[in-house]
Amino acid sequence: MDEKLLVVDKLTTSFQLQNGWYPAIEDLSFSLNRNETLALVGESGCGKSVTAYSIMNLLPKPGSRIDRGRVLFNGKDLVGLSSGEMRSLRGSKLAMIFQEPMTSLNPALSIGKQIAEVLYYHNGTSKKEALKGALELLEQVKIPAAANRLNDYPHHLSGGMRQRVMIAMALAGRPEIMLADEPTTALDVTIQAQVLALLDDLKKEMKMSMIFITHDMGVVARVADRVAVMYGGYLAEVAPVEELFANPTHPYTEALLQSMPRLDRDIDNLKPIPGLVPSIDRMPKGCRFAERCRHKIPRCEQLMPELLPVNSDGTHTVRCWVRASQNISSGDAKV
Amino acid sequence: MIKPLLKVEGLQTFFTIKKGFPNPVTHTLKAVDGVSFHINRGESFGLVGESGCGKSTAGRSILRLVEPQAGQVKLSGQDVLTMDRQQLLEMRRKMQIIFQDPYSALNPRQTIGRLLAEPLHVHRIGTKGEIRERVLALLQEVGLPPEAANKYPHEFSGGQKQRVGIARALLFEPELIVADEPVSALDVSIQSQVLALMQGLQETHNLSFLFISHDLAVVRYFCTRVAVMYLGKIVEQGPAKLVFDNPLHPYTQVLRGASPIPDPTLSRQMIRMEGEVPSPLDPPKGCHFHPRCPKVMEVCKQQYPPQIELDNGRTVACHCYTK
Repeated sequence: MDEKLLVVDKLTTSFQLQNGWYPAIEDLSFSLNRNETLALVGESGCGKSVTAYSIMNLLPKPGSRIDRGRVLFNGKDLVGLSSGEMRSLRGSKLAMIFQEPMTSLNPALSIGKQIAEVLYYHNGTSKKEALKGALELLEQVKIPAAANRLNDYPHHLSGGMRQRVMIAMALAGRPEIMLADEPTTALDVTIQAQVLALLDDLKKEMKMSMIFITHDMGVVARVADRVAVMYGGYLAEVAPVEELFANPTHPYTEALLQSMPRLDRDIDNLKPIPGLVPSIDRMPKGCRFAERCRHKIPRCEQLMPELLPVNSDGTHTVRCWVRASQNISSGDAKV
Repeated sequence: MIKPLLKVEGLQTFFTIKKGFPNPVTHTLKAVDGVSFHINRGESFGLVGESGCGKSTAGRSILRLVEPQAGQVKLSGQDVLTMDRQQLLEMRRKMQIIFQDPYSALNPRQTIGRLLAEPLHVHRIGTKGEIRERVLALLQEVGLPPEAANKYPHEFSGGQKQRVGIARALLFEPELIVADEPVSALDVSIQSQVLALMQGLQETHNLSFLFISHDLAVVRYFCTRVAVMYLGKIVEQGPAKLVFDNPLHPYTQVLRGASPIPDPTLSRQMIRMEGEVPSPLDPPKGCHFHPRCPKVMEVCKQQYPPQIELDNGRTVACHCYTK
């Protein structure tokens, strides 16, 4: 039996625009099992990063708020925790790494000191011990000649090395969950491969669970155990990774996979998805994807469908009137 | 044999960089170091590599947006590098460029209509009415509504801005378009829209593309032939499908192996290569790739390998293939 480490339950987060509050994510429910990597995948504006920021309570304030829903970590609701309580969780039990390490690292502090800071504040070690710990962490993230690097500043390092430093900082508190927000998007492919492999190793070594946010289906296939596809602030489809790529069932997932050029096979003609992602103040009624969908029926533009299982064991769920609602009883609503 | 539209031979572009304080030392950065290739009429030629390999500089050198040190660039037989300013302006009509970031490539204070009409005014092509018509026709061609002419760049999404960039490149009916990472900043679903647009235009206008990208999948789809660059030099060249399905140079193999493939049954066995791209200021002696190469031999550390010509129009610069 999988143990649910994190449960997100009907989470809704809104942002304030000039003329009111608009939800960026709505009724988001998913869970993260222990030792699992869950990929949140989607295009810009789908709400994948907002989800991570909501979980970490890092939403920019004022201007955004969690309207409703719960985030249960080990059974404890994180929504509404005081900033002090949250601060002690962040960096120890929950850690996050970001896309652009240069903007997340302090340019005026040596990397050794930055990592030591985490140890000093969260574990209460002495400053001297903390520096020693920082060195161990740098070695753990495989920074070559780590001892000579302790006194380097972020600008001395390459993009890949900076991301390793970020990871080292995130690991300092021995987190149970690592949230990775597009951690390899800014990196070259060979460096991306190194960082993904490193994250894989660390996850096993430290028995971490991971929420991995990306727009790249190739990276999803590489890292994820389970995948949650997001569109317009909603979960469109959730499935184990092999199942998702073998049977993409939501028309958006399917169209996304068909619209990508492939390195491993010939494609005569790409099938682009027409139209644009709707902006959050102009979300259509009903299914968010309906206006771009090849399979839409009248009901799609009226009512948002539920996330319903499409396979017999219920691990593959889809939010679609056409593909998931009518034949739940038959168990398999394959295309 | 068909004459190529563009022939680039031994292109070298160096930058000088001053480093150090208080006594700066001048270094030479060989961004493009002896690059040769050709592009046929109506063909898309891909230039791939990681950041800093010189692929963008190569593209810009061909247009003389940066001045190369040495080499030859011939467009329909005319040498671009020896032209004077007037000739170059004429020539630039036949060669255009699309940039990666459509946000910074468009003047935020000009409407799309003005932005597209301005070059036509500069080159004194047509009357006001004719120019207006041309702009509207172009907008339609790249899939934008006529109202777009009165809007400003910030009113458009990234994909739409890239369409404007493409429209601007098409203004003078060019023969060659240098497309520098044209879809890298776009979302996946928008990427394919823009690629499809470029493909359509290529057919209707018999355009040739120099397509610069780091994304092997996009290049394999869009380009017929490809060259792989590493630290200023082309390491492998040939038909895109052959190069990516059966890479010969160890660097191409690594690049191919590190590119994630959207298939969980395949991509779990991604190649791991330690180390990073060395600084182009001080590339390793011999073959630039030898410190990271899994097949390194003694000779690789001493001599840069020659370009070896193989079947099917493939070339590779690697000592493994010298016999």
